[in-house]
Amino acid sequence: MDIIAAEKLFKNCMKILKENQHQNGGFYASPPGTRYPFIYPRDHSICILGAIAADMLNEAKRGLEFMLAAQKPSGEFSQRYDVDGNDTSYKDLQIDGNGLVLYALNQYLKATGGLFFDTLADRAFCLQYWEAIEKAVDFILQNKNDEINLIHTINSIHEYPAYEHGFEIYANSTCCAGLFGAVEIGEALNKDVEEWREQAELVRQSILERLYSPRRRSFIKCIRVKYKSSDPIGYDAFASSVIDVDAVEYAPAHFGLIKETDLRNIKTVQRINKMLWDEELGGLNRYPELWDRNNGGYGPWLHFTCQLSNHYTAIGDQDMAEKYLGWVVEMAHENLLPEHISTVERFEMWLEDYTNAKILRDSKLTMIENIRSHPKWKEGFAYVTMPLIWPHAEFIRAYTNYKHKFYTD
Amino acid sequence: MIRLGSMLPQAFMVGITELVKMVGPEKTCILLSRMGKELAETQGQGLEGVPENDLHYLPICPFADEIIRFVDLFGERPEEFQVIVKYVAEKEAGNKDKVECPAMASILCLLHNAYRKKRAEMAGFETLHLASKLSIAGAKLAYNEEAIEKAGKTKQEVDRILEKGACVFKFIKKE
Repeated sequence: MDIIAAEKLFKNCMKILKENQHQNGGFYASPPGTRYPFIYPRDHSICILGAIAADMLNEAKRGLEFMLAAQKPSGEFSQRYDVDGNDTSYKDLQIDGNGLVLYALNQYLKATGGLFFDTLADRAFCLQYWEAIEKAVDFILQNKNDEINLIHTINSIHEYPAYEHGFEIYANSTCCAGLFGAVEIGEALNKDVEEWREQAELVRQSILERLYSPRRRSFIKCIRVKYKSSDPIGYDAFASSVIDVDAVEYAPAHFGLIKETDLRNIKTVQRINKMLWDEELGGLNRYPELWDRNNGGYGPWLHFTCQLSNHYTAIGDQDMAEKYLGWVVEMAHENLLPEHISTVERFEMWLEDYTNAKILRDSKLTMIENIRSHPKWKEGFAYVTMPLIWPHAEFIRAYTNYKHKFYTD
Repeated sequence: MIRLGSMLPQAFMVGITELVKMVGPEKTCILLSRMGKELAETQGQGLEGVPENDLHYLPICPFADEIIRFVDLFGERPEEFQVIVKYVAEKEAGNKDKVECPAMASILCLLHNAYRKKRAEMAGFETLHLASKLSIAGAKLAYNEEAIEKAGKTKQEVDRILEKGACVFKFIKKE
């Protein structure tokens, strides 16, 4: 990996995070005037985690204040908000947002305390928002199916119900990690959180049993079930499993529910790397091409590539960590990162598919124009949604982990 | 058996027709609006739709599929629905606050607009419902001309958005 280029990118990622935080605290998903000038709890939470990794704790706190104040009366965090915290979502439930906000809040609490947790941790902030924490936990548990002890969702990280409606692995991992995070916060505040701990452990065990396939030696994507309360779920109209490979099958280890060195995780990551590493472009695709929901053309995603690099860093495989992070550094254009990258040919294939199927929305026209007018187009690349803030936060996290592991060792 | 799982929306609309027969259009309209507001309160402040300059629109009507299914089952435009539409039109004609009324393409616009309006109100915005359309052949477009005027738009501008959407509205920040 070109370390000088990586350092430049790292510094610019911090700058991008700062520049794309609205004065009210929300991190834009993409800058104002571009494709996603809203605050999405999923992207926003990762930006908070990026800010924590970059030691930008004031920015992280402001981000948390924004999101906790925007919580819906039900305890849910919506798909997206405007800069004033008004719900502007247009998609159904995405419950991983609840898990991510709680997880990020706990990471903030730990970061403020550091080695002197007892004296320095920002308990006052968590106490101020304790009611919101309780409501966020309650909302997660309201969506738990007690037959299978998993959390039900309609959308998850890909906003793609066809493969995510039911008990999906990313949503369950984030919610479970969020529940454990709420338990740790509660303990720091001397609250009784025993019931939450029991519930979190039930979900964790169920992820390891129900969302893991021993014969495939891999976590699986989803147990498709239409209704949260179907009882028994075997009779639900959707009842089936999604066993296709997905980059987020790494989520149980990524969110600390199992060790990185757990064989279930190692084998899962091997499958992801084998089936989703893009042989033509490099980088990690998010799911199989044939799912064919590849806006802008099928291709590798920067933030999933960063995410998986964390595994290789954690297990001390510097070659693979470099392969993943080095690719991200190579793909940066003027130290900026897009959502994902495709080829001209794949872009045209996607355009043909969507045009013929008559599912090309108006909002995609601007995206298409931006892809074609980007300087990389003439080099044969389609840079889709440039810049997206999320991968900048993921790069900060992944590169920080990489440096701590390999530079300080 | 499978269809039993999706009968509730249809049962709801049968209920509306029965309610019109039992208590008349006025109370039915009040009920629809109250339901919208009550549901809005569970969801908190929010602004619906896709922004387009200073207007917002919904690309598709969230109720269209169920309305079309209902029409398929019970025939085009049940009489009771027409009673409500006529009642609202007459009531609005004499209403000095017509600008605040929904542009009603179907009876469910009453429910929907009450919901949208309440959530915007919680966010500190006034809502103008400029126009809506129903995806049924021959169905007329519905306009609130007073709302269009207050929004500073022309019917042609609204029509251009209706070509790609089902419902056009404007949020105005309250002072």
